[in-house]
Amino acid sequence: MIKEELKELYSFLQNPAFLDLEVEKAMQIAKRFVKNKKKIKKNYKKIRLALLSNFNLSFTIESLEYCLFQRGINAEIFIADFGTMFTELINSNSWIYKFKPDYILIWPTYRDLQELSKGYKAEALFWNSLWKNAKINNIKIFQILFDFPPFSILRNSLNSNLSIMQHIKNTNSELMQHYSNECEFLNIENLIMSLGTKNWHDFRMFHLSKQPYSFEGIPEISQYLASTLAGSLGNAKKVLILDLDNTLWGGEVGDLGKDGIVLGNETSEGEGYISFQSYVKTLNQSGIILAICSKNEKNVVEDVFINHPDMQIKYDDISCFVANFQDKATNIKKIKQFLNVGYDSMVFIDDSEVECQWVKKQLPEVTTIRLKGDPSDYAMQIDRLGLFIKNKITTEDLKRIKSYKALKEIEKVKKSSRKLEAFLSGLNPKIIIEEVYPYALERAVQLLYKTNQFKLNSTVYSKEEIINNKSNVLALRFVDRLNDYGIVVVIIFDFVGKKLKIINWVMSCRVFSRNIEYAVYRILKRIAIKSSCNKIFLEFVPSSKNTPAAKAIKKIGFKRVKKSNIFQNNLNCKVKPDNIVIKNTEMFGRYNGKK
Amino acid sequence: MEKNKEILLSLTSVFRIVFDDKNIKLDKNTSADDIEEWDSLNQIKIILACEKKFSVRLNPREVNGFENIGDMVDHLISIEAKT
Repeated sequence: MIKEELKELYSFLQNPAFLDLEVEKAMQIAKRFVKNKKKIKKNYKKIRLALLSNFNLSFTIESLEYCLFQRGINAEIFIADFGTMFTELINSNSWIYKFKPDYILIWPTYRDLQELSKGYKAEALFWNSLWKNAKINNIKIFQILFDFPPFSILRNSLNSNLSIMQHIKNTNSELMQHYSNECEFLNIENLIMSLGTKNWHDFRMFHLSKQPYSFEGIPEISQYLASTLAGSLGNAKKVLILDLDNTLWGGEVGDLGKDGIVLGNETSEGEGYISFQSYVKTLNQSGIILAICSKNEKNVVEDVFINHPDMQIKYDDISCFVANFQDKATNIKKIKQFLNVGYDSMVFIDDSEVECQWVKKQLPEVTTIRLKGDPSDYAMQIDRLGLFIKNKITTEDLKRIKSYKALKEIEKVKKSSRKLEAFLSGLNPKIIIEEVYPYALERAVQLLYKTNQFKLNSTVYSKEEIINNKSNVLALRFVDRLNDYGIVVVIIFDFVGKKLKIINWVMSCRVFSRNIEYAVYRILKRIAIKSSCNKIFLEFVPSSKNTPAAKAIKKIGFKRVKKSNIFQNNLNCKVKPDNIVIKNTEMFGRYNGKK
Repeated sequence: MEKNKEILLSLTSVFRIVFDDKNIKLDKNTSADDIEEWDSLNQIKIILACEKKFSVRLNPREVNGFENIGDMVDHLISIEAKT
């Protein structure tokens, strides 16, 4: 029983989006965490943090502790009794000083302003006087800047000198300008915007429990504060590892070519990718190291960076560029070694559920974010987690980026192949053999014409030719537990004497590394045998791009015939098990005799 | 009565989440004396969770006056009848 609950806790801890949980669940998990914290063996930074406010923080503490832990900080938190913020700070013998904190976080609200009549300078001086004891005891102080009261009428105060809004704005400004050497100020404007007045000012909650924000707001507030504190304590993430296809541009460049990817102002989707790239560029400019981890031919994707006019991120912005067909966990390991950072300072983003689950499993310390939906939403999906928040950007940060001019290709690495194979078969992959039904005609033609990397030669069939030769064209749909990848393979074949001839075979690069070529071999073999053929042959014409196809046909037993482009297979190749279930549709029964 | 049972089950699931305890079993006589961590803070969590679960507005003063879960169930039934 208890083991299950701990297991659930661990799996939640791995999910960086605490703020998306239903508040009741979030509170439950946070509570469970605090209860079991001692059982979780992690060598995290230990800190003693005293929180001071005049409102009730007791609902928020467990969530805050949880979110801090997610950011690598093991915090022991002390809160003073309700309403004692001032006395605790002023009295040098108070409980908070007895607690011996490393950090004090002061959280005032607009209700705590003291010098409305005397003005903002007096106000700033008042708050400054509260820090005296902390400074004497060498305790680092954080203070949250003042929020605004919610009522619009206060914004339109005729006498601007007495306006509370002006007072707050000026006080915040004065504090930041003149007191930043004594106290680190935390700006929560973005948090308040995100929560909105409804959640930030919950009067019922305030009168019920003396918590000024809604119950619903607790997860987001905890996560925001934890991110901000983590950033100030040196735990901001340092590296952003990017997938390319459908992350930085739309579509797979291996299939569509540099000019076919969606990136540009012609479409809203293309604009979305431009805008996301700009966000990533901004991160880079504030000191975040960028790495690429893509399943593509390196020269193909480099070409996009260097020559595509709409790329916002430049080739030189990338500190470590990895593009190959190895599994991503292995590649991320190499990136980590090259950049010499910890896994816990890396963030990996990808649109593919499969890739994200694999990396999460293999490298649980890396923060993995699966991008969902429209590219216009990507930036927010990352930004809202506060992983990169830092109060200060140093020249050190900017220098660090330039020093990693990394463009060494990551060498062929010994894969942890058994684990990877087990993971892939755990996804229950299936191939469904379809005739090219009318709905699939478009996609089949697109694959035939546009694919470059996995294509045997330049022979293609038009729509009419496919329709007229329906029984000689196979469309394979690939499905696994996480996704329906659609039609990813098209095979055109015919019978010549006692041989099965493959006129062409194309495969979408979306599914490279899924072992589909082995399943295709099994399918071709069956067709051959059912038609009493004892050999399969094909013509492979090398192009600048189709090396992946060459590799695949050799893996499944095709051998070159003398000095030609013809490759032959005698059907006796022992291929490795692909664990893909092949579903025959009724058409397969046709292949009982030669055409 | 079926309604009683239904509400009791829903309340039980609320309590199990608030206290993070799968073993909590409620009956109409359960009171704050029976659950160790049931203090005023958790009382507020319970009220808020019930408001959400049963789509009602509760008056905390009233709720604080209940002797046991049975009172709560009766109250929830009576509010429902009015809507």
